Amino acid sequence: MGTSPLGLERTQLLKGVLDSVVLAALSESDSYGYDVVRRLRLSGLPEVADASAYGTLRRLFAQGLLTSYVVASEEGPHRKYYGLTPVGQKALEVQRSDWLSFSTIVARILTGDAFTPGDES
Amino acid sequence: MTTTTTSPTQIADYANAVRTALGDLSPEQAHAVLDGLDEHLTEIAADGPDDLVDVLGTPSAYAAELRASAGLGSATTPTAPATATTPRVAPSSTTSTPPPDADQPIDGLSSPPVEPTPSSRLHLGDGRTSISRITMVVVLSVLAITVIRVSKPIMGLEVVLGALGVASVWWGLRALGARANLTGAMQRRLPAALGATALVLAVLVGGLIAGNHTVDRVIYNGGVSSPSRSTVPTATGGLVMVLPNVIGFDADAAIAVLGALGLEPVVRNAGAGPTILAMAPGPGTPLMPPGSVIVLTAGPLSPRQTIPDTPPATVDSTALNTTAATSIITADTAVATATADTTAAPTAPASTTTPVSAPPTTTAPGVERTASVP
Repeated sequence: MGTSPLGLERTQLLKGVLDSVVLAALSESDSYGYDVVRRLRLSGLPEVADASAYGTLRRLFAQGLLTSYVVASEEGPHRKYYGLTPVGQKALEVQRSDWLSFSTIVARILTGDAFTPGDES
Repeated sequence: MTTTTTSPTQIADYANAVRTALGDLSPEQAHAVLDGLDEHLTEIAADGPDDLVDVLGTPSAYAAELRASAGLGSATTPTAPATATTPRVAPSSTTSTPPPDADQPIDGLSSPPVEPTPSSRLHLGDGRTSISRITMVVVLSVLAITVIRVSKPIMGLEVVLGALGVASVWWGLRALGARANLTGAMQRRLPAALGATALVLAVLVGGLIAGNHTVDRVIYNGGVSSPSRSTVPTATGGLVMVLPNVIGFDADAAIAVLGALGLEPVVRNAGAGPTILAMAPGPGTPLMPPGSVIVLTAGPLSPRQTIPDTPPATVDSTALNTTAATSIITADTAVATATADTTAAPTAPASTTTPVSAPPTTTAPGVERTASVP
């Protein structure tokens, strides 16, 4: 978890975007809890904690951004799949736009491009 | 899927330990955050860990993380936001769709954190509270209707209150997202509860409406009014109008108004409630042709009420306000002179109360008599 002591604490960064990445994962395809965690970890976020992801799933579901349904399994327990509701889809779109805007600004600042002489706006 | 070395017992023990660590949550909150946990842990265990603690941490740590990400705060502190998302009503736990609110944007990054309340962020704990609120609304509505109806009969109020009661229950369900918060058992009972509520309100409102229409007929000088408007003119062509349950009935004010309309109030009873019988004099008025009668009361008239056609000043209040009306006056019979009732001039202002004479109740039911307009 995290990088060097002077680096950004990825777990803290992840907390700010966990909702968005969970929504994004489910926008690709409906999935059950552990599968969401696994997919996020395989996507480059190994620090995703299972409890964080599962709690986020339950909270987003309670907030109306996700819907759920149970799929019977012959091999193991029934799985509760989650998918995006129209509200969740819209939320994802907004958050995606916000993140892109935010990350672009941060990137400009961090690279010094935000402080180009003459750019007073 | 590899074969798990974690036994079902170990999975159950871990899940129970997590539940214990979250034991301070309300049943609704716990259900919302822990629903499906066993299956979730089973999936994790199926990935091959020897011990769930190695993968997930201790149950208490797992519970703490679960609590935080679910936006429930710590065990002894108020709930705190995990991320800045707009709180919504929780949908049901199985196949379902949350309440539609698709137009409200969700700003997950730039909005300030929302301080959740027990009824906000996860909207947990509203299931049973919703049922209690519905019950309270129904009970209060019934009581309000009953009290108001008994204390001050107001036509149509019962209908309004009944409609308001049903509307408030419906609004409460929508506002709270109650259905989404209810457990499966509660959801199964909800239609029956709503149906019973609607039935009670329908019976109550219907009964009150029926009871409010207490005037079967008012007959005067051949004219018939049923229940409140004239259907058959009097023998002289006048109208018969009955206005029971007058809101805020004030006899003096009513007399003044009637006088302004050109009518002559000729009786005022001080019995159970003031009743005024107003008659249009000879040439009539622009509103009321001659021979017309208006009966104003503060309360309901009894069914099949009769207005004796004897000199109005002698009308007995008890005859007007009881259910024991005995005679029906028709327009087709000869006049039976009312000799026992005349005690005042028919056109005298009704400034006194309680006429002294009884109506001609000695006439057997069915005996017909008429009288002319004084």
